[in-house]
Amino acid sequence: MSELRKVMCVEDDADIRLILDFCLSKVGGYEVRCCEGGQAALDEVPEFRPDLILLDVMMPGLSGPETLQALRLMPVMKGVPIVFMTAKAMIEEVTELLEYGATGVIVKPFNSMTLSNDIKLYWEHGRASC
Amino acid sequence: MGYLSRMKDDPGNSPSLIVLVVAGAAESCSRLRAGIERAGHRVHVSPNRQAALQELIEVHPQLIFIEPNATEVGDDALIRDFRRATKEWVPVIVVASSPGESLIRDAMKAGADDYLDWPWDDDLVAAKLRLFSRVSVLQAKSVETTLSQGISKNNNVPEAVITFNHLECVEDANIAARRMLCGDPSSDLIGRTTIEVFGTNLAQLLSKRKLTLTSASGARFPAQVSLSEWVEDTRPRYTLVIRDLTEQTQIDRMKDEFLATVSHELRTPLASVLGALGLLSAGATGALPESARTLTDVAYRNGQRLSRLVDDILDLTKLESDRLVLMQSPTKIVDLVHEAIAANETLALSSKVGLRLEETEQRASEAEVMLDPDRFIQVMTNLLSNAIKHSPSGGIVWVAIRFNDQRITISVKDDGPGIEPHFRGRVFEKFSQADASDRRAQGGMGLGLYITRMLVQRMGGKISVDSSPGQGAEFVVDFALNSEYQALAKKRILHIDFDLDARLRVARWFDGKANLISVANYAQAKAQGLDASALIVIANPRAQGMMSDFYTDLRRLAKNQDIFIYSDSVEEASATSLDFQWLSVSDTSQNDFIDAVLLRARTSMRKALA
Repeated sequence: MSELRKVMCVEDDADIRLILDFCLSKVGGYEVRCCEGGQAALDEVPEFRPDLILLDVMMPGLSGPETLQALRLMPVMKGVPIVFMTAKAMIEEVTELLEYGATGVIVKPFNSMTLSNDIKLYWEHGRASC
Repeated sequence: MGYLSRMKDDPGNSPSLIVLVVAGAAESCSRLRAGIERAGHRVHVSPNRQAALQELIEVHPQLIFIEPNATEVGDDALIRDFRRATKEWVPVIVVASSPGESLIRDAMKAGADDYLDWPWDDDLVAAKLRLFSRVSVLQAKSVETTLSQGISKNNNVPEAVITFNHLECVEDANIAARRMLCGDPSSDLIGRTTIEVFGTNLAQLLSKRKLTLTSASGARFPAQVSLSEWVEDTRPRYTLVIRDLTEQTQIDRMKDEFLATVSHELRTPLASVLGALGLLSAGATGALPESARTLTDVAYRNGQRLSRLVDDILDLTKLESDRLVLMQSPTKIVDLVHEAIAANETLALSSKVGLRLEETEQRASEAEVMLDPDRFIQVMTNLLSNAIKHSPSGGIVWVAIRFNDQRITISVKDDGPGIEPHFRGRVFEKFSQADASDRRAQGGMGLGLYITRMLVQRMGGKISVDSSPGQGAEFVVDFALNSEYQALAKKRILHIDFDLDARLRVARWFDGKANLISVANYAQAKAQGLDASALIVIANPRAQGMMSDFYTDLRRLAKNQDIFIYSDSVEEASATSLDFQWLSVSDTSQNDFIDAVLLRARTSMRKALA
């Protein structure tokens, strides 16, 4: 795979899902699939086959880190970077999140105009190591 | 205490006393004993002086009769020993069991309180006993009053109060202290040492502002200890007030958690608001009419402001609870200043304020400081936005970087209204704004400079402000240069090349990056009197005579230091075989050349510093 085409967003807040969808499909031109929770993401990954997953940290049900760990066990996720999204901006929390095996962390509130490019950079950086 | 309780049972005229008789002559002793018992008191008789001291401790007499004994010496010493052995005053009465004044006089001189002269009878004994019984009642009352005052005073203090004597033994402990440290207010701490009570000595106990203590039940709790030192009877006393901080710590943690939750809960909707507005005002949904754009810009700008305030509150929480983790590393500070200026240019432009950087010595670009780059950008952004905010339209904010061998300062100067002298001391305090109207005009909660100061201090720097009304304000942050950098700045690079052009060229390359000394040959280098420990040599062996001699000379000059050889006329092998470094001039760029030398310099510096 030589370009970032399909992005899956996992986010429980419906408004943020809408914004993400807009940022990434309208501005970024990606094919976007939004899931409202970790379980939905696990269910839809085999069929959607994302190139990158944008994953909220604090969600009811499966949390972001739990979802990440489950996703990492799926063979189809090989080489697919996962980027956390969190409102906790503090550096120690970011470090902790990266230790779960995420490629990067995007802090909320994010810049809606640069988001599509930001995740592209993460994708370029992370796909070799995932 | 036993003494007191016995006394206060009967405050009447003459309660029963416990009397110790130190016997002299057997006959008069039994007479005396009978007289005392008849008067209604209890008697213990010590058959000799040796037994008397033991009886004193075991019996706790309230009155002592001593019969001086002409055949047995040491009554003076005995009276003094009695005085020493009892904490409370126990009256001593000498009884003459035969005619002869001198024995009585000697005993009185030695500290006896009263005497019964020969010939005495039962009535006289009874009268003496009555007197001392009353004296005892009065004494007990006075001691009780003193003690009860002391106890009740401290017992009303909710904090634990303990007084130690100069030997670090407990002399007094209030109810709160006994409850805190023994679990039982009726238990006694008196006489226990600081080690027994706290597990540590007084000096260590007071060396920390907050500490963890262990209660009687083994539970550990956070506490704060404060000390007052005073002197009684020329001996120092130490009164400690111990505050159990368990509750306060819990409240603090709840406050932190609450603020963290609030800021998290605020950020999530902000993400939607700012996301949507960002897309709208950037025209992602198509070009907006001018009026609509103005409005979305206003909304977007204020959304960002709200977001910054949320950041501030979170930072404040972390800073104050000491939970902010700094990622400190040696950082080129000048690059960060440039970055911060670039990041604030939009704000300056929209406020119609110029943002200028004074010309900086080129050397400064290499200056390194131990700091957290993100937090330093935050500091600079706070100072810059603050300066822009207070500058009039058309004003200029000047940034200046100044440095010497040890320190670097960055100043941000505005030409705003300045700071009133009475407010200058408070600008770095929490929630400080020059006045309420300022708050409305400029926005903000007065947290920016407070957080700035906390961050600068946490990174090991200093911040100050200089201002007079009408003259603008200048904020200055000051950091110590990284010791490695300082060492590097002191380290000199000796450059030997016969060719003047080459010397000038290399000198130009290193300008501002290192302390370079360029000379034509070894003789000149030696004449510089350079300290070999602070030396790195770069040399071109061309036109330096016999190559092997030149190399030997170089090694003598810089014994354990790195020596770099570059040349287009000799073989690389000639240098590397002698453990010299080879710098290839033809196929490396100027930057690679410099980097190679500086990298080596730095590596050797790290080794030396380690």
